[in-house]
Amino acid sequence: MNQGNRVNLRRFSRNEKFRNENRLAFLFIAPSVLGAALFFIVPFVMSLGYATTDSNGLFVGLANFKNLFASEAFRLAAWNTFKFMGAAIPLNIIIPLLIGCLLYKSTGGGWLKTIFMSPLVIPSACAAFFFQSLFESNGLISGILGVNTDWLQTDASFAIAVAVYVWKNMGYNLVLVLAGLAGIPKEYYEWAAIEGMGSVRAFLKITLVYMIPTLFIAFVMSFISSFKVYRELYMLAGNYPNEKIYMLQHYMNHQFAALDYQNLTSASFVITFVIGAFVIVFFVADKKSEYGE
Amino acid sequence: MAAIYIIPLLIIFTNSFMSQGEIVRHYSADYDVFDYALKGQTHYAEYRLIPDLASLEQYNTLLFKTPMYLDLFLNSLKLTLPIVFMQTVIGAAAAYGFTVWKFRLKEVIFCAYIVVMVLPFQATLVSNYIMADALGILNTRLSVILPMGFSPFSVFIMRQSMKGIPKSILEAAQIDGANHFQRFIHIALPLSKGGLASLMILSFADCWAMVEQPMIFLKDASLEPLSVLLSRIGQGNMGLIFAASVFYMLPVVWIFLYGQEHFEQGIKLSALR
Repeated sequence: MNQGNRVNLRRFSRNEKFRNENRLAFLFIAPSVLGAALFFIVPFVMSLGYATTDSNGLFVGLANFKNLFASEAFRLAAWNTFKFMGAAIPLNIIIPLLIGCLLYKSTGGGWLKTIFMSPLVIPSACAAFFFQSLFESNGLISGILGVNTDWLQTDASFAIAVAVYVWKNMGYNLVLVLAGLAGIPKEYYEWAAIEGMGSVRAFLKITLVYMIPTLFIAFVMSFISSFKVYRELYMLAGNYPNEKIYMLQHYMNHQFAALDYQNLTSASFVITFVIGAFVIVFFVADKKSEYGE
Repeated sequence: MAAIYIIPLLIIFTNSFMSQGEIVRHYSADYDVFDYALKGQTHYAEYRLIPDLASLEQYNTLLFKTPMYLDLFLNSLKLTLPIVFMQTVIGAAAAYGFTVWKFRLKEVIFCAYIVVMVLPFQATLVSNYIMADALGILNTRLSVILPMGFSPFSVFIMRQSMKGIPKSILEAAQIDGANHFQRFIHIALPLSKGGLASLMILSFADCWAMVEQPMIFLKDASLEPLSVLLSRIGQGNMGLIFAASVFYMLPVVWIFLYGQEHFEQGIKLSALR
């Protein structure tokens, strides 16, 4: 009886201490949470006011969203962004994967890796200047073909946008791939060779399987950077590019320039919800696989 | 393949020693008219790896004739350094908090962080603008520094880095009576030095290159960083673009070469689960 009490007392004081400690732990997060709330979450909720009222401040429910989806410019921009991601993200994963496999086996891949990472630090303006003198009407490519075409104003602009994106961002994923490859035990390949597995099958059965977590992250990072291609596109083709590369970011910038808060806020709500849904699915899948291991 | 990557770098560097007249002659479309009249053919842009005549004219103009460039360079520093500082301090502290805090909803908060991290700038633009307006800091450096300084990316990278710290070490220190602050300073920070360095490098490279944020929040041209000016230079003073680019790239390249290991480490950290 006496002893039981003592145990309870100890447990109680331990809990009390634990609670205090835990409260202190939150203090470390507080500045960040407050800042993020102040600059991202609170104004985002405030902007719901713009998204559900008209320009006179009258409540209009979901009418702004209806207008947004009815707008041809928005639909074109959303479709182009979607298409761009569909083309650019897989390429930005497959190309570094193949180069990574080649570099990993060869010696002296170190400085090649440095070179592939270099576009990450080249200023966008300088890169844009460089690409412009490749693709403009009196550019190098027109010169070789003996024509006078501004390639950024043709359907080829989409391919150019994808190429510029992969050029700029591939180095990041290459580093991820090389790190991932280094994590696969060499014995696996030796066993595969003993089993008489060809190198293509070994690649499919061993490399790809063990690289799935790495490729997953490469996908997420490519997803993030795919939005940032706008900077290069803007410098290459200006504010009103060919309609093949008219992206959501162009659309948003136009709304901002026109001070059309209704369209702007409802568009950023739509984008946030779509991306939020994506992230939650990823996040839950990731946590599940973490606990499943 | 590697050539596609190395040629732009080489051209930027060697062409920065071209005279301005030579650059215009090689790249400009304006030159067409002349050329057409003279030779009756269109002039195409051409890349020259080696200048006809090496000169320091561009650097001379850049550094001595137009002191504006130095001011812009300083402007870039005045935006970048506070952001890097804020991200490092706030990110490291929050990451420690997320590592040790026991609370059911913490993953929900973290999930919100990731959503904000992934969002394109154009989607958070309105939010940032509304708050900057409400605080009356529009058109000051703070309107760029504060939202970037609280960027959740830093928390994400640092949390990944602190995942590598064995729990037993932190627990042992707790049993020895070290409080959170002591554990943070003496254990968590030294053990995630690599993560800190990577975060600083990634965030420096990112801030140094930012164009959209200062373009929208800083209307005053005297606050403009170098990156914004460079984004316009192609249209105006073409003869300076290569030297200006070299000038602009110096700090990033220096940090990049100096800390490439950390840079790579940072990229790898984003992959850690």
